[in-house]
Amino acid sequence: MTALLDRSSDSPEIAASAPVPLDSLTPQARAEIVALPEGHGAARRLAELGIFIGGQVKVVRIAPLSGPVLLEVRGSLVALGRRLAHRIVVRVLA
Amino acid sequence: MNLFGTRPAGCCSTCSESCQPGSGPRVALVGQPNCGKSTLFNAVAGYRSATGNFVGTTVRLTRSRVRVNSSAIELVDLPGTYSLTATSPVERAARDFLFGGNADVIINVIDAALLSRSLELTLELLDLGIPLVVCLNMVDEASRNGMTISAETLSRALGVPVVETVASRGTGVAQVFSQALKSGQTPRLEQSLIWPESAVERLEASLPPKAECAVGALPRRRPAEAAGETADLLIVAERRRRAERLAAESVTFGRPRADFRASLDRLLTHPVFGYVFLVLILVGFFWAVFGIGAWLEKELLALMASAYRPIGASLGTGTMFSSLVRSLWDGFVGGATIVLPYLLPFLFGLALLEDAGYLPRVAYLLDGLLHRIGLHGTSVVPIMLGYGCSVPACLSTRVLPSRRDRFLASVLATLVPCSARSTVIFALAAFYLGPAWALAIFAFNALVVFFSGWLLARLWPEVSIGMILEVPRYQWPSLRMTSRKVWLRLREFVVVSWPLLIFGSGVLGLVEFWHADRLINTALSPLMSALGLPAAVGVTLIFGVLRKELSMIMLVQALGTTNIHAVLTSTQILTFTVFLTFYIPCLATLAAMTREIGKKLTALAAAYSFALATLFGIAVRFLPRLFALA
Repeated sequence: MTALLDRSSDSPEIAASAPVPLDSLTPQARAEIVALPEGHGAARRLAELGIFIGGQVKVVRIAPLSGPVLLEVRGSLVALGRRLAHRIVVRVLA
Repeated sequence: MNLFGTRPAGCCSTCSESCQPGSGPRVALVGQPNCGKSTLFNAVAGYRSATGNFVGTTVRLTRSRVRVNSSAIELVDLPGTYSLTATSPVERAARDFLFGGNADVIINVIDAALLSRSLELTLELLDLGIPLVVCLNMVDEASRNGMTISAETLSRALGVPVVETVASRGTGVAQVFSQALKSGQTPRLEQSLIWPESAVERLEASLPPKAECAVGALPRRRPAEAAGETADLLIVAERRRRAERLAAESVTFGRPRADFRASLDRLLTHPVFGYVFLVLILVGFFWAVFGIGAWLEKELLALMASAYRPIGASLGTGTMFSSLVRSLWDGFVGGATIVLPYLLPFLFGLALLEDAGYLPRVAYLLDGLLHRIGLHGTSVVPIMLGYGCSVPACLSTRVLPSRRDRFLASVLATLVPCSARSTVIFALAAFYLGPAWALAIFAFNALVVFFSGWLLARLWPEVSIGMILEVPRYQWPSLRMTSRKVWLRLREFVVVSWPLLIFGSGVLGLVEFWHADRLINTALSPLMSALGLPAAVGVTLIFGVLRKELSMIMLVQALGTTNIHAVLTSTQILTFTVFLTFYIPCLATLAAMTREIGKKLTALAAAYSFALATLFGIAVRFLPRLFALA
């Protein structure tokens, strides 16, 4: 995961589609999931709600005060805590 | 509602014992959270199951015997679960029930608007080999989203019947159950889905040789629990691909209709207005409860007083009989005029907020704030429910993934004033001192809860994965469902607490007649004098351990007047209210807490709240110097 992030900072010319943390996106942005955090069974719980590697999400809103990121995932709304969202790596889609 | 002669025929809360012969097939309702299972259950079973528009309402399994087309079935409402790989104790209950071979037929309830995700669970259920009927629920929502779903295509592809319903309006409900009866008579399902060789091979290659794993060939074993997460995720991914393909084949997309709920949500979860509305909604809620409650209280008190006049005149005073009758009457009047007027609108308002789906929005808005005290937004649900009753609040902590989160949430949920304590706040502080004081107590309590969370999180630090919460669509609360839920909660007061109030009041009357109250009051007098309360109040606190509103009713009895302001000063009323607000949880709550977090932690929580109550009670004595309160 960190390796992916390092590479993106090394080569600015691919920055548009470079992997970034999910919480760095702006509302209305669409993104494809690149990596999920390990441990605590997080990947499994996220997969149940439709958040899996290769899947797509849309950022609907981000709450203030380091609040959660509200995502639209396959027709449903899912709120993810900011720290968790920070550990999810995505690639922004045009 | 009476569909095709359906009637509830008894119900019990747990489903551990096996099905008796002759009681008909056992039908399990299975589905993902918020798919309308409980609504479907209630449509036929009467109000037995708790519904609520958030994840994990059904914590215990609820069952009911119902009659469909003159045959009996036993209906079991399983907790909502996204998959059969359980991650929380609530989901484990659903999984264990199904793996235990307890169900003869499964009705798999699906939110039609979330077809593709829901079908993942359907495919998993099919692997169990139990006869299954798909209940394609909320088809009205799907068509609003522009989705036209072909039930035939879906049914052919899955190999099981698919029935379209709108459970909230009762549409299609009869068909689902008659189809379930029909399916129950067929033998167990043949393995309808064959996993592709490549997937099985890849899976087997990733497993240790002796691992037990449920892929295709071994459908009734627990899927890959022994195999570890990699193999498990592989199966999940394969199921997802199938579910997506199935959904794509059976859905045609049109133009979605404009939905005002999207704009409503933009407003209610707005970074600024969201909080403004949150405060407005909560303040409006409490204001309405107080307004309705105070009006009812005044009217009912006058009514009761005029009803008692002839009885009181004929009884006389001074005999044991007369003081017993008088105190029993006081207990009855206390329940009718002080508790019910506030409890009823309170429970109704909370049920409306719950059913409309506002609570997950509150969780979204407050998650960031709660992180500062080491909790996350999901804990909002138990805490909000705590305003209703601490017992279900403690039970609802089971949706939280870690033991530490469950402990924190249940301690905080019991610190929040439950409806009994809110009643005390409304009927004493708001009624005698003004609504602003009641609001101040609620606000102060919220601060204490916040601080306690911060403190406990420091004492028991843990890095949790944070909030993962589905935010369901808003729903118009159905008046029928909401009032049934209110009645279910109110019934607890009417059949359990009210008789207890009357009985307790009678006991106190006799205790006073024999002057035994002096003993108790003398024992408690150090605490009372520290709080600056008359010694006669001491005995009421003993009853508060049973039910919080009991203390207040007892107060009327102990002081011998319903006009408390004539005997107690404003400061004393405030002290008493604040003390009761934080005073140790009632017996029922202590029992529920012991079940959830254990004896030691419960004792600790009780000691903590008692210490808070004493500390704040004493502190309130010094308020008048600051606010020039009479």
